[in-house]
Amino acid sequence: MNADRSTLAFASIRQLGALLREGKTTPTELVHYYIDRLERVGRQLNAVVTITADLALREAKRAEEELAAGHDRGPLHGIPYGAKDLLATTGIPTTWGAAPLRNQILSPDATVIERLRNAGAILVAKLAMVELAGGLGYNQPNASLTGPGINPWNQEAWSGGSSSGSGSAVGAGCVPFAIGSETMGSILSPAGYCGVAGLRPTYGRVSRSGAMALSWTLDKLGPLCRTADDCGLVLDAIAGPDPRDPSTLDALYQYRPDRDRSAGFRLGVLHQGVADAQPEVRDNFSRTLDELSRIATLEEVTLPDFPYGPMADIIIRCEGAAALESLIVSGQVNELTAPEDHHGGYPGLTIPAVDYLRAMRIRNLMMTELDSLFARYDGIVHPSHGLVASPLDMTFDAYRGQVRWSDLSAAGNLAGLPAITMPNGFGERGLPTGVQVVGRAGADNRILAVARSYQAQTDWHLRRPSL
Amino acid sequence: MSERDTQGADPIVDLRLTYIDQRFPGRLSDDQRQQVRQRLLKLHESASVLERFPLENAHEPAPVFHPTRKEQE
Repeated sequence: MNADRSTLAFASIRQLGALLREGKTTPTELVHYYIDRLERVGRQLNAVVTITADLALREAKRAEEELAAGHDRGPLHGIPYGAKDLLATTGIPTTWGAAPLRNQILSPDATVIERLRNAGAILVAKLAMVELAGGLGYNQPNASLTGPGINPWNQEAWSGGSSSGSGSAVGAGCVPFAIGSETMGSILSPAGYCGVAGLRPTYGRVSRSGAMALSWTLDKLGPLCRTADDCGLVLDAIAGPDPRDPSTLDALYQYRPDRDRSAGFRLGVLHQGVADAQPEVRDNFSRTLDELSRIATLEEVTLPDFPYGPMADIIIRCEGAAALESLIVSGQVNELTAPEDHHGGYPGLTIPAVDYLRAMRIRNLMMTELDSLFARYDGIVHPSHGLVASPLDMTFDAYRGQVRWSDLSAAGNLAGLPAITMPNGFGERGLPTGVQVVGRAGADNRILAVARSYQAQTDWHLRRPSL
Repeated sequence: MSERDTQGADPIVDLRLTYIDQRFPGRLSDDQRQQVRQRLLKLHESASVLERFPLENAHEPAPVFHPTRKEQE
């Protein structure tokens, strides 16, 4: 290999693509490199469930032959990646992070896996996750068959979840990108805590066919990457209508950064809740606003008054209990890692249908009002999280109280809005802080443009943990 | 229908807990049962907040129902 190996771990997709096309490395060499790193570093961070070496080497050989023959599938061709272990992969276990399902094998491949293969990307690992995507109300980091997700920046801290392995593996340079899923924060949380870019696409942008369902009206799949630009490249490969998932949008998606502007944005700034954030989070957000003011006009906004938290609570608990009912009824939940997940599913089984429908009726009104607000802006910015990642040995209730979701997180997820988080500094215990940009439904490219412009003038996304 | 009052939630919460006990006899320890009860109380509080939100008869839920028609082969 002619490429400097020390730079590979944290190279972006575009950088790796250039090395491949200049003949400075090969897909097979990249696969060996990342598998070695997953074994040495990824496992130490509890980020790995299964390393798919045989499949990866076969796919690498194919990519090598195709590239040599001039058959270029695009920017992901020959690039290794990891997938959250809730995506079905034929012949390879798909555990949903749950001990009782450690031998579960599902087929056919999830649509996302299939599309990434068609784009030439190479699956090297199924990555760790919180058991059942956190659907039973876990209250601590140790809630997965692989153990607590560990943060690459501070190994006494949590990686975030539920896409814990996706966050820490990208943050630790074990894969160039990973796929995660978000029902209510599960992409933005690990991406923000691990100091990487994480994109929650508009609901319906990416097919969930072959993904574990937790909440049919809230589940989204999206990429975790080194940069916002990489998130766009991956979204381009996985987005689009899919007859196997009726929730997918009819509109075709294309990532075209050359067509987007890089300044002159109009951004709303949400200060709600910032006063309660940790001091470093507040300071970093304030500095970020200064930086954003060079590329955007900023206006203070407030969210319309809706009961976001209670709506999210009823909808997730009800849909989650229905989606996971067989595991609850069979008693398999008693084999889960976190003791609170043994009984966390029962309350959701008792939610009256009228309560669920009331939440969905309010949700409909909320979506209309939120759209009116978001239509005025290229995005609304807010700290990704008020607190940096929690210590591994602390319950969430003890660390951050019983409030699980910020209003913006609940509102954005309930309305299916796209959001991206990017690192914007460091907070207590040397842990990353982040800023999120939330956009109007369908405006994935607009928030990617804002994020790219922010990253073009800052270097937080280039910082590396010492591992 | 009158608004649910969180202060008076206990009988409803206990009824829901009884439903769980009946459906899953012997499944919960005393400690687990207490935690399930706490969670039921929170769900009841969430539902009570939503019940105070003004809705009109015509306000439909978020997913719009579409009848299915499979194309004939």
